Parts: sequence; C-alpha cells; structure tokens
Amino acid sequence: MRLLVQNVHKRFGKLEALKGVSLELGAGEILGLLGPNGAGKTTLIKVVLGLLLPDAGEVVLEEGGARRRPQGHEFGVLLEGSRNLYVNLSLLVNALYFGGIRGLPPREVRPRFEAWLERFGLRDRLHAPLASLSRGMQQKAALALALALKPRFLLLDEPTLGLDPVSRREFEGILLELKKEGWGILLTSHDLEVVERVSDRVAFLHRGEVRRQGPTRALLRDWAGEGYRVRLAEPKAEALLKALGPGWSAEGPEVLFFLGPWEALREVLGTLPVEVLEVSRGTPSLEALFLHLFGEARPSPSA
Amino acid sequence: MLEHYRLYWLNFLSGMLADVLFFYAILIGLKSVTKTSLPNIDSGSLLALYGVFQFTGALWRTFASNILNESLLGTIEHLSLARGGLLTQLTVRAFVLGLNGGLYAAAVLLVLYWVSGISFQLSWWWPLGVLAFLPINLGLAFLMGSLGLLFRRVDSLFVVLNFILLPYFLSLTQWHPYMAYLPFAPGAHLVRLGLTGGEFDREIFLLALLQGLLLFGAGLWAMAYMYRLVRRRGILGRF
Repeated sequence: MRLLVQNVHKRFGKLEALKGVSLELGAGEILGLLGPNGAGKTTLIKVVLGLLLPDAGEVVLEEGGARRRPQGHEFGVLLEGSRNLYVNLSLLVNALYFGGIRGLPPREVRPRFEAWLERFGLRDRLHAPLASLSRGMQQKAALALALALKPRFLLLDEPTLGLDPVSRREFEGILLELKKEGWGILLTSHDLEVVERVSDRVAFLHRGEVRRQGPTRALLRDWAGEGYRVRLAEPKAEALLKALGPGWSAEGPEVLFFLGPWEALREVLGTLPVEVLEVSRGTPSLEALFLHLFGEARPSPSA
Repeated sequence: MLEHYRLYWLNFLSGMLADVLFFYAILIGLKSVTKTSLPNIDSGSLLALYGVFQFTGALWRTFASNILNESLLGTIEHLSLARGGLLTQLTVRAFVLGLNGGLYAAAVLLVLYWVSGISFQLSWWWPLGVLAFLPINLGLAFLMGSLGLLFRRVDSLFVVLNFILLPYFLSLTQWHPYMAYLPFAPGAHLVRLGLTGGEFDREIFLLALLQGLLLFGAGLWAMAYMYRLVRRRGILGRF
C-alpha cells in the first residue's frame, strides 16, 4: 500500500504555493517533509487530506494494483497547533465523538483509545478535560486518538512544537515504535534532530518545489565528502556561528560543522578567533544540510 | 447538546427570557400603533407565528454559529475528514439542531402560554404543518451556513435577516391567497393553522412541501458549492 502525491500544483493568486510536487509514502516508513517557513508543507498536507483542492495533479492510494483517491477518514491527523480535540471535553468524550463521525462505534473506539492512552501513560486521564492536560500530554492524547481511529496513514504537522525535551524524546520513541508496527507516517517538523533520527526518507520543499528527496542516510552520505567537523578548544560554537557564512552549523558547544569544499574551509580556519583542536571529514547532520540548502532562503509571503 | 445547556444554563435561561420579553414588546408595540386593545389582536396567530420565527431563527443561527465555532476551534478540518465528509456531518447536525430549534420554540411558546394566558387550539394535523415547514427551515439554515463557510463572520447579516423575517412572519397573521407563493409563507401559514384550530389546507401543504424541496435543494447545493470554493481558495476554517 502506497500513498502517491503526483505532480501537484496549487496557486493562491500570484503565489505559486506548490509547483509540481511528487512524493510517495509507503506503509512502515516515515517520510520527513522539511523546508523553511512558507515552503508549502502545510499546504501539501492539506492537499493530501482533501482539505485543499489542487489546481492540477492528484493524490492516490495504491493498493494491490488498484488506484483510487483516498478518503479523509483513512488518515490519522495531527494538525499544527491545538486544534485536534475539543479542549473543554474529556479525552473519552472526544474519542467517542471523533470515532462516531468516522463511523466507528463506541465499543470499538473506546478500548483502542484506552490501549493507546495506556501506552502513552495517560490512561488515568481518560475522564479529564483536555484543557487540564499539559501541552505534551495534549499532543499525546491527540496522537492516541488519531491512532485509535484506525487510519491507514498518519500525517503529523509539527507534532513536537512546544514540547519540552523530555516529551520530545518520548514522542520520538513513539514514532519509532509506530514505524516498526507498519504505520506509514508523513512528518513535518522544524525539529530536525527528531526528523533525522526517525525518518527513513526526507523531502526538502522550498518555494513549492521538492528540491531534494531520498533516503535520509543516503542524502546525508552524498554530502559527506564536502562536510567537515571542526572541534574547538572552547565552547564558542554558537557565538562563532553568527559571524560565519552559509554552510556552517553548530553540533554542540564545541563542535562546528561546515558543509562545503575544503578550500573554502581552509580560508576560514585561519581567521577563527578560537583554537581548533581537530578537523575531520564527516556526515553532516540534517540541520547542516537544511542550512546548506536554505541558509539564504527567506519565507515566501504565505503558503 | 444537553452538555451545552448544562454548561451554559444561565445563557440559555437569559435567552429564553429575552425571547419572552421580545414577544411582549411586539404585543405592546402593536397595541400602541394600531390603538386596539389586546383582545382584538389575533394573539393566538401572532403567538404561533412568533413560534415559527423562533424555530427558524434558532435553527439557522445555531447552525451558522456552529460552523463559526468549529472554524474558531480549528476542528472543522477534522469534521471534513469524517466519513462522508463535511457536508454529511453538517447535514446530520442541521437535523439535530432542527429538533433542538423546535424544542426551544415549543419551550418559549409554553412559557408565553403560561404567563400570558394566550391559548392555542391544536388541530389534530398540526405536526404535519411543522413537518412541512422543517425542510424550508433547513434550506434557509443551509443557505446561511454556506455564507458562514465562505465569510466566517456573518453575525451582522443575521441581525438584518432577523429584522426582515420577524415582521414578515408576523404579517402572515393577515393571510391573503397570493401569500401562498411567497418564500416561507405556506409552511408558516400551515403551522399557524395547525396551532390555532384551522382546517387542513391540502394545496397550501403541497405548496409548502414543494417550497421545502426547492429551498432544501438550493441550500444543499449552496453548501456544496461554498465547500468546494473554500477548499479551492484554501480558507476552510481560516480566520
């Protein structure tokens, strides 16, 4: 079973938000959809969900040789922000309501939802109003519900936004578990560390175009020959970053990563105001690749 | 729905009080304008048509504000992902709200009956009148809802419509045959006849049904058209 996005175009007035975007997502894989603000990520997710009609192109579900337009209820969704559940209703009432409108009877939704809550450590909050839960708990509850609704694919738009580091780690673990269980997940996030760790493939979207896509490791390996890790004697990586040009990223307080040719790096090394302990070739982080691709990018007006 | 009333009971009671007082204001206004004493006004018909107005208003206002609230909460996108899509969900909601609007109008009429002593003479067939009016009412609700989908905030338009519909419905107390062809009129007239001991008028009933069918169809078409339009423009639930 595969979800195919084929040559999708979408224009809002003069702004061409999507320019022939093609992607695919299979079962048991996580596709990270990355790009700067205004790149068209949310627009694309809405097209996939049918909340936005494309000007051209299509979204199809391929299953056993047959192709058809997927229905909205076949997706489990976490939309950006706190708009996935009713905040004044309890988790259980939310689950029964959203299950009901998706044609799932309470006897089916409730045990599934409770099982997911149990797994996410929220079983004891079943009757609590959503508003009484922390942001991280709300996200987990929304994900538990999305999973309880028996979707075929999960579309997660900025699921780690606003989560503390502990919740973020937990969320990451949950995503990896879901992947192992065979869920196909489309994930958009600016949390590149999480995306790098969980996604099988990534697609970089910029100004409505897929600039680069492929298996995460392979994409990063392709850049390895041009990447250099610079270990500093003092923890000044972040401070130095402000003065350095595009291609640089910080991988810790004492480690800088440069994505570019050796000649360019050699020129900069001599001017650094901090002693350099070691320079080694290495695979760049997803963040480094992102900065390399979009370091100069500015968000387009709206998408 | 019950949860809604439980949570916001004070607002519900205040709204009902306002609707009762509003009827008294209409009565007193009519009395001073026409210089007639209260008993000379066909108060039964007036009350019945006021009930029709309440039924109509309760439905399209709650239906359109339902769309607005879902848009504000951001959950309207999840309704679109429901089985059958947004239109199916809203149609189901409209029927539930129709029932709710009918019960609310009945409650207002009961309170008015209790405090004013204006009585009804129910004809055996009165539910037929209400049933004939329901699709007309739902059609209007869908038309208003479709505007809500596109423009999101249409509260002021509702106020304007209220000011048009109230005298319009009340003017039906003086029934003339040509009125049978006016919008909403045959259905409202039938409800009035049913509640005031009038005889069943088969022609008016058929006209009301025909009008209901047309309005209901137009309302559904408008909703489908606007839903497609907002999805094309990318403004579904956006503020």
